[in-house]
Formats: sequence, structure tokens, C-alpha cells
Amino acid sequence: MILSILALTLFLQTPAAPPPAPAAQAPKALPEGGFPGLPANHTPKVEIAWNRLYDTDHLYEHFDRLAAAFPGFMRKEVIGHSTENREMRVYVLTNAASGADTTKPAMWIDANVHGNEVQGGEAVLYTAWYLLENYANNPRVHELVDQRTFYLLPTVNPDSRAAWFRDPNDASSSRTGRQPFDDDGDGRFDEDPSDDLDGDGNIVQMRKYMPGEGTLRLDPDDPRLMQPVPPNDKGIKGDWVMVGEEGTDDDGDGRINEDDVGGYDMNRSDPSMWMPEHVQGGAGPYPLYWPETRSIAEFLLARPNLAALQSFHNAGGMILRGPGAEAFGEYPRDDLRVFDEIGRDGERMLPFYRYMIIWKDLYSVFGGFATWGYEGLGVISFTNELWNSDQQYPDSSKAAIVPDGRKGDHFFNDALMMGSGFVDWHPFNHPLYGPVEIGGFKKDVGRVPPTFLIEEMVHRNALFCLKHAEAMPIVRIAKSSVSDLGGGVRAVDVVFENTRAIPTRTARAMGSKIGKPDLFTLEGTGLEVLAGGFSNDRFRPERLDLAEREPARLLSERGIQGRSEVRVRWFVRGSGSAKVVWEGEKARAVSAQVEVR
Amino acid sequence: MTVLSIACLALASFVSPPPQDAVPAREPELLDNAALNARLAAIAKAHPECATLLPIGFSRSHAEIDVLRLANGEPAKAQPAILVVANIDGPQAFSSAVALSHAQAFADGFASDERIKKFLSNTTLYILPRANPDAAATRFAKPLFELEATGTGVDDDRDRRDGEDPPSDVDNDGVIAWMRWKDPEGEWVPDPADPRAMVKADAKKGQRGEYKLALEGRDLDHDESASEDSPHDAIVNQNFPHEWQEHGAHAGRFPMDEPEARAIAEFMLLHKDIALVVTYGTLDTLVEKAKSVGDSAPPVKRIPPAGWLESDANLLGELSKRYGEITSNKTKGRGVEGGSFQAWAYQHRGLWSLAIPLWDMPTEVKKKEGEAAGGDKPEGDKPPEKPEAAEGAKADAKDAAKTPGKGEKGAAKEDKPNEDVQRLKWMDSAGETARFLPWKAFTHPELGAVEIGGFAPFSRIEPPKAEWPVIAKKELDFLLTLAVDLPHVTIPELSAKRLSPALIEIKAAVVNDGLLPVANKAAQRAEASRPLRVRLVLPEAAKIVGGAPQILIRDLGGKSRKELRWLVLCDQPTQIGLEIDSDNAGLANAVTEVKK
Repeated sequence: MILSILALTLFLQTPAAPPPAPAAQAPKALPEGGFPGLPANHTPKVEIAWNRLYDTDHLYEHFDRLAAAFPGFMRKEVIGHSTENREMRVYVLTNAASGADTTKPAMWIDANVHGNEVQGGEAVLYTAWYLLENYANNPRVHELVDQRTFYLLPTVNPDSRAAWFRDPNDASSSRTGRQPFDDDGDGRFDEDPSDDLDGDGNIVQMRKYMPGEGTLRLDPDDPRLMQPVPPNDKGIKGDWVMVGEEGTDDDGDGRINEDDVGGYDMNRSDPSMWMPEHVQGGAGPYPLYWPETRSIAEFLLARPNLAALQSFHNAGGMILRGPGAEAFGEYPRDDLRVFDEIGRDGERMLPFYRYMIIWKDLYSVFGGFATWGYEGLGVISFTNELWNSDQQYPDSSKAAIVPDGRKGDHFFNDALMMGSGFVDWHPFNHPLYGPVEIGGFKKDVGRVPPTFLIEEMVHRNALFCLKHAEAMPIVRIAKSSVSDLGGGVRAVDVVFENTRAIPTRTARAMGSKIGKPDLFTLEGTGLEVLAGGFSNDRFRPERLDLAEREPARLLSERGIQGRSEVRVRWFVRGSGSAKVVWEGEKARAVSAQVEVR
Repeated sequence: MTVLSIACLALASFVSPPPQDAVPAREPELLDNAALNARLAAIAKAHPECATLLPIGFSRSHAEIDVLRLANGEPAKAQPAILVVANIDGPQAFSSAVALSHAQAFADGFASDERIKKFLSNTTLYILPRANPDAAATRFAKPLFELEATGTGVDDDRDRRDGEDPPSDVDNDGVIAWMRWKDPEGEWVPDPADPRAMVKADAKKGQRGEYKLALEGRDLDHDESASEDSPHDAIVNQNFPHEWQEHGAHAGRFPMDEPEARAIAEFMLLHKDIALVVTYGTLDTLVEKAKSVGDSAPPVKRIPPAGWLESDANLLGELSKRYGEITSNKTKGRGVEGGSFQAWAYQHRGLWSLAIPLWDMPTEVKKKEGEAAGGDKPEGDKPPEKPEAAEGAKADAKDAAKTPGKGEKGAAKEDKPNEDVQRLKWMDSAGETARFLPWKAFTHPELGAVEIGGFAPFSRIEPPKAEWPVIAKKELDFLLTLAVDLPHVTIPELSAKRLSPALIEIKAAVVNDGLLPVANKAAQRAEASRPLRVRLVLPEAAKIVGGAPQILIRDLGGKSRKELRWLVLCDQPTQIGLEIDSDNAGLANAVTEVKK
């Protein structure tokens, strides 16, 4: 107690004023609260179970409940329709009373472009829920909801999300969209999908017992698992072969499961360095070909206030940034600093997640959405791959006693899920292969967390998004002064400051001339602006990059860098009240009155 | 696999064209959008036996874009087709007149002309005479202007004002021409060889710029640049995905964003019968040898190197030779290849993309009577480049065709004459002097004293009227030779032999009668067309014991043959059939009887 009073005293005596805290602009007296976040004595307005995954309809339903419970704070916007005519819904979250969504810097958060990668949808839902429930009691959330906009698209691929929940699937199927595609080039579409042969609602694996003719043998410790027989000269052979995913030769072409539903990848469809099918599998006939992808691109291109972007996927535990392909080259240093700062913080907020570069650390992706977010829109963009199966055993000190790989998955499934995630091998008479066994892990094992870990996943990822959103620029006029230069000429000096990490114009936006340059203006009756320019030396006010024309209206492609200032000097004749304004696309406009006399 | 595949590689022989029959030469007519669409509709109405109007979409300004299909009745499924695209480059309205004349010739000649009858007996022709109606509209409007950009705009001069300073008819004479005015910062000087032509000052020769040069227009934003910010910047023929120039002023927001580009793309995706595309525009793949790379040239950072794949380029070279013999057209390509329809058609869709520039103002004076007027240029001469007109403005790229003066990039090569001077020489000698508007003094509302003049709009890209039917006829003659080149599959042999009372051996040969392969290397690479699908049709009682019920053939060269074999178990007398299905090489089937 005494120590903390001492610390407080010391703090108060510090001569330099502390830098403005993010909370500075928020109202001071907020009611006590803290849920979600603090667990005791708090109840949310809208209860949502965070130990479940929701299909498309239920996911939308929860958003609608939130929108209804928080009128004026979130509204639905239908931006298009999917292949199967489902609504493409963006939920626009901001305090409408503090300004229209388009006047505030905005963060886009989407999920589930791959239909099977469902849990990002819940992370987007949680983000909305967290912001709305905490608006009234948390000053930082208050600022985010008042001063920023969130464009939330919970599922890019509502059709395949619905199908993944509805139909027999495995963890990786239903990734594509639902437009028919002739994968095997035989002129027929989607005619040979996987089949739920035993009708148990699961697509799992098939294995066949072939004594002395196989390549695999049963694991002596766990006959659910098979192990390869090592090459040997002793005549030891396996008794089993794997014969692929559950299914049969529906089209009679001698191949099994080779033309499943769809067969393309909507995260290979975006314009920046888009490449055709033979370079980038799944790309489709041309960029933004599918209605889902095109409606999103149209929406974003119409919103220059977009200043941050996140697109959730699963799995592997990654915080990915572009570029998606080596040919883009490295990102400009100024932007890299911002990516690295947010990415490194993310690694701390998201244990088991690594901050990675798509092409270098994962694989090359042409036409990926997050790459387009940066290369095409000039916005700091990330893609999180939610859930890492290492999270089954978070205690690395027990590595020696924790089984690896599939054995580890089985131990976890047996011990913590009562075996419910695995379909035990059972016999089936296959039309082509004869007697086989069908079994394996179910679709909601491997790429999505078990129920009891979902809440942690969505909370950490939602809060990472909010960290990203807080980094969007806030511009303020830090200082203004007038000095008499003699001869009826006065200098008006104004310092414009961006208090946050993301610049008002990224280096990519500047280099590729994306969007509009920032605008710095001075106007006032009785005032004539004779000249003006940007100061490049804070101690030598005469060192200016003078504008060639229209000095009252200064333009800057570079904008205001993160946590930086831009100093402007105007030379003015006359006296009166001047209005100085900063206007840009990625932060709210600011203005101040300066008395020139 | 018991299937034997022996490809008898008969090298495609591209014989010289047979002597030309008299095809009715249609006078090409320049029609505005409404009249052109009405004419296409009229042709379809007058010739229901062979002509069908297919509206494929609308331009950004809601002008209808029409294709006329010419075929012998309803074309058979998978019958190979040729698509002719014209006027995709906005100012090339002349090309639409040529394409329209083809349509008229085919419709009129269907009943009477042997070559046209033969062409349409096994080939479909789609003609899209005006792919870019919005831009073409300015050919028929006042002021006259060569408009290229019709799509989404960008803030060209980065002043946060969109499209505030477009080209305009400042002197109100009905033409948007060029302006030159004296300015100490100007980079241009009149060429001493012909002061009508402007050339960039060469500091190394002690020259100093005197003039600024820009498209005719105001300086409404008072930034000392005229006509530098148009409301439209995207160019349809730079909006296709192959090597699309992201963030380029003329590229558009994303590929296929421009409705015209998307309409054409959707049409092509729906019409997989198209095997070959002829485009009349500014790009060339027939006059000069197309740039090529080895069939298996390795990708660089995963991106395949640009250019035609060598095997395809060699076959294209044969067509090019024939094109030269028939048309003697030597007009060279210019314009932007990145994002073009022509490059996309080949690189992404795997179609034979014959890009033909019909005419450019010659840079050499015609030597003797009867010689083609198309520009016979000195050996090694470069194709006309984009001019470097108005400083700081992008207007030049949009309106390249009619710059009044153009120096070489940077320092002019010593002995190289200014091409505009050469053009003026041709113009004077050909009695086509109206093609240049003499510089005329004018007091500009913002810039003060200027001169307005230069090459008149369309003067550098539309040939003298007398040449129109000549060019149209030659292009038609060439077009008519292409039908026999297209792939056609046949089954010349299908036999069945009993090896035992129950075991039948089936042998078949599949042949491509065309000179071009079933799929070129680009199509195979891009899997843009489906492979040939060969299916054995058997009665219930028969069972395949050797071979697959369906065989996919991805590669069948021109005049090539592939042999197939199956073993079938059946002890009854039976009938065995073979069916071939394709996207754009026709269908074929055969039946054979097997006795007990």
C-alpha cells in the first residue's frame, strides 16, 4: 500500500506530461463493468454460448439478436448473394450517433472463405458481442465503437458453411464454393463426390485387410492406428492398405471421389497478381469471378475509410501477412514496421500462433485476399489461422510424456472427449473393393477446437483484432501558433499529429497512388494565404517544401506516419479567424480555429 | 493399361491458299451504334437460315453489345467456331466497318458462294463488330475525338478532384485536336525538317525545349496543365487479366471490371466451341513474329515467362505467312499488351489469337502504282511508340494515335527521321492533306496564346476511303481460309475381332482432320478446354476387361492419329459403339457389329 502511494507520488512529480493515453477522449464516468472479460457479478445483455459452433442460419441469427439488442450500434447490410442465393451479410458496427460509418476509419473482419474453416465466424461474432457488451463500461471499447467502424462479414462462404454443418463431411471438405466445376474434365459436373457409404453422417477413411499383401500393419499399442512396414529383406509384409476417403466410383470412370462438389478456391480470386488455374490452382476463370468474392471487392472499393483488415481461416496457429508470392518483393520498410509491431504483439496475445509471411513461411498464394488488402487497397492486413492442435497439450514441460501426432490426438480424444471424436473402424462391403473397414476422426476434430477451448480461441483472436483496430490512425491538431514576420505577413504554424501506429497513408498507398492524398487546408475571411508548405526541420522553420500552387490547400501523398507529426507553415496576410483542417481517408477529419492577429 | 496410343505425327502442312474465288466484296460502312445494331438485326432477319443475333451484354453507358452468329442453321454441338472481334480499341471504328462487311458477305454468300458455303458447312463464325460502343460513339459525335478510356476514373493529377480537367474543344471547331504553346519549361520544338511536326528537344544537340504540348482542352483547375484529368481512365482493352497492370491509370479497378470486358469474357466462357479468335485492333500477332518462349520454359518466381509457347508460335508463324501472302498487310502492332483481350485469349483461354492491326498512316511514301498503301517501313524500323505528348499528363497514352509530333525516347537516334515528318510526307504525296489541321493561333482562356492543330482525329488510323473495300476483301479472303485449319475429330476405323468365343478385341483410330491441334500448348497448360472424351458404348451383356470405359485425350496434333484398343468379354452377337465428345473439335461416333 505504502509502496504504491509512493509510486503515485513519483508519477505525479514527473515533470514531463505523459503522452495522451488512448482513453483520453472517452467520457470519464462509465458504469462499472467488464463482461465479457471479468467473470464475477456480470451478466451480458445477450447470452451466447461460446462452447459451440453455429451453422450459417444460427450464426446470422446471433448477429440479428445483437443488432436488435443494441439499436443504433449495429446494422445489417446485404452486400450480395452467394451462389446458392444466401445473403452476403456485413454487419456494420459503430455508434451511429457519433457519425456515419463511412466517416470513421474502419476495420474489415471476415471469416470462413473456405467453407470448412468455420470457427472464424464465431470469432467475428465474438468481436461484435465484446464491443457491444462492453461499450457502456470500458473506455477503450467506448472509443472503438464511437470513433471507429467495424465491417463484420461472419462468413464469406455461407453456402459451404451451411453444407459443412448439414452434410457428411470431413475436416477439410466443403472448402470450395458451391458452383459446379468439372474437376476431372469429363464433361460432367460434381458427379463423383465422397460418399457416406455407411450412412452414419461422417466422411472418414477406408482401410482394407489384405494379409501378406499390404504396406501397413496395425499399431501394436493401438489398433485404430496403422504404421508403415519398414522396407526389409526378411519378407515381412503388411496386412493392410489404406484405400482412401470414404466413397466409391459414382461415375464409373475407374476413379474414386475425383469430382466432388465445386472444386475451386475463393481465396485465390483477388486481383493483385492474380494467376490463372495452371499457375494457381482454384483461381477460377478470372479474378473475382464468383458472386461472393465480387460483392466483397465492390463493397471494399467503395469504402476508402478502410484502414485495417483481418480475414480468419483455420488452422495451424498463424498470424499471416503478405505477400502471398515472392514476385511481389518485400514490403516497404515503413509499412513493415507496422506489420511487425502488430504481428509480434499478436504472438504474445495468441500463444501457439506464429507471425509469418505467406509465401515464405507457408506457401505461395496468388490472388489471396489479405495480399489484395495490402497490395490492392493499401491497408495493413492479416490472416489468422485459428487453432493449433498443439493447444491440446499446452504444457511443453510434459513433452516427454505426451504422445505425438495421431497418438496424441487419440489420447486427447479418449481422455478429454470420451472418445466421441473418432468413428471406430467397422466393416463395410465396398462395391469396388469388397470387404473394407471404415473409420477415422470426425469433421470437427483437427481443424476446429473442442467445445471447451472455443471461447479462449475467439476471445484472443477478437482482442487481437481490437488491438489492430486501435492502431488505426487518429489525427489531432497538437499545436498551432502564429508569429508576425513583419511587413504585414504572419506565419501560421500547425502541428498535425497521428497518435496511433498505422499511418494515414501506408507506404504502399503512397507508392501505388491508392486512394487520395491527405489534405491540409487553411481558410478564413479577411485572410489571404500567400504561401504554404510542409516543414522538414522542426528547429529551422524556414526549411519548407513550398507548394507550387494553391498554398491554402496542401496535398501530401505521404500523409501522417504512425505516431508522427506533420508540421505545416502558412504565410498569411490580413487578420481574422482561420480554420485549419486535416482531411484524409483513414482517420476522422479534424479542424481547429486559429486566431491570426 | 492395354490401350495402345500411337500418335502418327503427320506434321501439319500449311499449304498456300488456293486461288481466290470471287467473294462478293462488301463496301465497309461506318455506322454509329444504333445503326450498326440495327444492321446486324436486319441481317439476322433477312437471313434466318444462317444469321442469328446474340446480344451479349451492355457497355458502361448501357449500349447493347451484339454478336452475329453465322452458321448453317443451328450449329451442331462442339462444331468449331471462329470469333471475330473488332473495335475493342475505342478509336478503331474502321475495324467495325470491316467486321460488319464480313457479316454481310457471309449472310449474302451463304446460298450462292461456294467458299462461304464450305466454310459454314462445318464451322461457326461469330462476329462482334463493336466491342467498345461507348468509345466508338465519339467517332460519330461532335466534337470529334479519339476516345480510348470509357471506364472507371482515377484522379490523374492527384489533386483530390476527380475528372475536373478533361480534353475539350476549346476553339469550338468541332474537333478535339492538339495544342502547343510557348513555355520555358516546355520540352518540345518544331521539327526543322517539317515544322508542323513536333519533336522533343535533344539537349545533347544543344537544343532547348520551347513548347508545351497537350491535347486540346481547358485548364479548369488552374494547375498549368491542360486536359490532364479525364473523368474516365480505364480502357476496356487493358482490363483483361493477363499481365493486368494493377494501379495503372488505364487498367481499371480490377480485371473484368469494365462491363464490356466482362461481357466478352462471359460470352467466351459460355461458347466453348470457339477455337480461334481474330481481333482487329492495335496489337499484332500475324504481321511480325510473335514473341515466344520454350514450351517448357521454367517459371520465374512461379510465374511462367511471357510469350507464345514455341510449338504454338511455330504454327502461328505458318498462319502469319499465309496472312502476308493474301493481304500483304505490313501494319505493325502498337498499343499495350498487358491486360489486352488478345493476350488473354491465348494465354488464359488457350485460343489461337490472331491479332491484326488493319491500318496505320504510312511512314513511307508509296513508291509505285498498285503497291499496297499500308506502311512499308524501312527495315528494322520500330513500331510507332506511344507519343510523349503533354508533360505530366496521361492523356497521351489514351490518345496516342494522333499526336502531332513524336521524338524518339530520350535522345533521338542520329539518323532516324521523326516518324511524324515521314507521315506528313506520305500525307502530302497521297493528297490526303486534310488529315493534318494546320496550327492556328488561339487565345486560350487560361493559357493565353496557344496554337491548335496537329493530326486530325482518326486521320492516322483510318485509311483513305478507296482502300476500305480492298482491305475488307483481303481480310475476308484470309478469314475464309481458316475453317480448314480448325480441328475436327473423326473415327476412320472401328473394328472388333473375336480372340476367343467370349473375348473381343476392339481397335479404333481417332484422327484430327484439321491442321491445328485439338488443343494448343497454351490450352493444354491452362486446361482451358476439356480433353477429347472417347467412350465405348457397350450392351449390358458386355464387360470391359482391358482398357478404360472413358479415355481422355489432351493432345492430338493437326492431321494426327491415335490408336486405341480394348478387350471386351461378351459371348453374344453384339453391336459396339464408340463416341467422341469435344468442346470445339466436333463430335464423332461409329458402330461395329460383332458376330457370334
